[in-house]
Amino acid sequence: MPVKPVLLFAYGNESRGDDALAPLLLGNIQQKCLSCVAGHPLKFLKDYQMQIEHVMDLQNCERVLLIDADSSLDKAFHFYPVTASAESLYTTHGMSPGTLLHTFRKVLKQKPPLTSMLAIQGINFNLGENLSEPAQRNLQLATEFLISLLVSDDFRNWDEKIF
Amino acid sequence: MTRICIDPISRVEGHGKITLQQNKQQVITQARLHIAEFRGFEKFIQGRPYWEVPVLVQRLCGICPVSHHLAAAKAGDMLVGAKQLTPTAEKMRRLMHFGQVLQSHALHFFHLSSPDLLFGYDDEVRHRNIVGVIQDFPDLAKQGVLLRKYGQEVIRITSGKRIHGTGAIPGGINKCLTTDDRDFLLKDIDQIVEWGVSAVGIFKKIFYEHADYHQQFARIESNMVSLVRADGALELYDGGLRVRSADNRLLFDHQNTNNYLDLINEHVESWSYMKFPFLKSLGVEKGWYRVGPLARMNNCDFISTPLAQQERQEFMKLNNGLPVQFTLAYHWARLIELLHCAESIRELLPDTDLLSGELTVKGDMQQTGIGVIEAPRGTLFHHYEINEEGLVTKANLIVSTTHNNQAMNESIRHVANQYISGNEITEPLLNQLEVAVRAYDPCLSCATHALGQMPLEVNLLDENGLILDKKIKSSNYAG
Repeated sequence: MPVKPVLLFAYGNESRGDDALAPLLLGNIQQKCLSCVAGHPLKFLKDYQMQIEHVMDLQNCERVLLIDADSSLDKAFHFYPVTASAESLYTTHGMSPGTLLHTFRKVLKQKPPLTSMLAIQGINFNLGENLSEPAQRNLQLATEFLISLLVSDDFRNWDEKIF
Repeated sequence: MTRICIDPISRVEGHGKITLQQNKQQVITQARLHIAEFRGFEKFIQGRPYWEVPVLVQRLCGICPVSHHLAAAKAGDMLVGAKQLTPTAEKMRRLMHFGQVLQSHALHFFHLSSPDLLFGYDDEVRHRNIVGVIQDFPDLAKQGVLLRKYGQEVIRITSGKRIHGTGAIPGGINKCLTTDDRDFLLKDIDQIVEWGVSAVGIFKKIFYEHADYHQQFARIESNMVSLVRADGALELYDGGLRVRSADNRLLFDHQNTNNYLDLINEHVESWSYMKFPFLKSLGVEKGWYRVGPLARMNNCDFISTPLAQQERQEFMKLNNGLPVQFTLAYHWARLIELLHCAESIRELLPDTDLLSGELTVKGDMQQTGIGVIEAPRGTLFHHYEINEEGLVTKANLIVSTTHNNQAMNESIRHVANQYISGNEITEPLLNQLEVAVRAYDPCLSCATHALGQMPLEVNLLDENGLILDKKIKSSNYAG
């Protein structure tokens, strides 16, 4: 039986200021040439937004790490488990992490993979602007954190650590 | 005078706000949809080399990046003097575009409009959303996921990547299909067509159950603008501009898109970042128009694929062959187009031109490039001027949401007058305003989406701008 991959899924628009945080973080990880975690190959995915069809990307994954910019944080980043939830939401074309897992369970009639969220504080999301200075610092901190998580070779940190 | 603000709109992209102005008789005299996100398009592109533009502009919008990619590539064709693409290049681009429209329309129907349609517009907001659809109609939700996924696969295969694709370049394309790619897409296409038929059927069933409501809701009479093929067929990728008046006169037909500035002008309002395009010949007051699926369905003479054509014939009977003007018909037209795209992909895939052939052509460099395409939400104009070094010195983009600007305001005003109760924003009014805007599927933010944004805020202001009442519906998530 093939070893299931761990999916790192970063979403955001690299040309809209701090919305680039997640894809930039993914790029940092790819540059480190990390290829597996706890014996599971790493799989990388970038997109502009989280959409309904991403349930298909989660299929057959051991674990999933979602990465996004977050304008509501009061710290550099936040790492936490995501659970399936049928949120009563006013939404855009995109989806929330919890709703994506809920959709996975309902549509594919399977238990979704264990999923964590790494949200990075962003401030400015204007078209054509670079990362803000605070976001640059946050990116650095989040990159260091994620590398430490990936090289620890143990999923216990994923479940126990909440930053 | 009382002013009512609704800020921002949910289930449409980004940050929108509605301001309603009411006179002493509590009649809504003015409706304004404010969109803050349309700043900076042109500035973003200026100074860039023209050959980078088709890739760069995809970042303008995370919802329809392929439309910008193709419109910019078409403008690039003109810049490099490519008057006629090779059959391989044109068919590959068309395939990419059909995939794009298919996935976009699928997302709109299953994610955004089906909750309203399936549960009714009075259903609780808590339930009337995609989660409710997944809960109550899991098979339908699965179709939505897989239709969308299929369209994305067409894009990935034709453009080379899921995002930031490079498939279309000035003068042609940079790759064709492999037989494996083609066979992969052929494998599921019959199912996709079948689901397309089913989606139109679902809408029709719902429509006929409440035909009066659907025909009166947010109904406005407008001019219609779209591309059509030389023989009058529905055309999404190329063609001439056709303009039909609200009273069904052809004002312009088969107009060369390079001359769009002869037909269309834009005016600005101090309260909005978004411009207001209008037909020059009719002036600002009467020259506003609609674009998108409804305009395309009304403007074309027929659809080239049989199942979609059959559906269009039924659609056009709604107003005895005259233009269908009710706003919720956008949904119906959108689904007919979804079916057309599925059929077109099925027709196109066996074509061996997709597998081999010349990829590019070039001619004499030009300094002006104009590319026009029918994006999922409507006609999209890209217009560039470049200097001797090939750097963009001027860019003008008219996106479909801008074309529909005045029409959306008119629909909002119509709905507000129908549902306003005193000087309060009630839940039903709020719902109906959203339904009206959503019919146009505006793309307001073009992909800004961070966590934590976008509560639904409702402000009631008096004539001096003081807030009389304020409601905020927090969102757990913004998209």
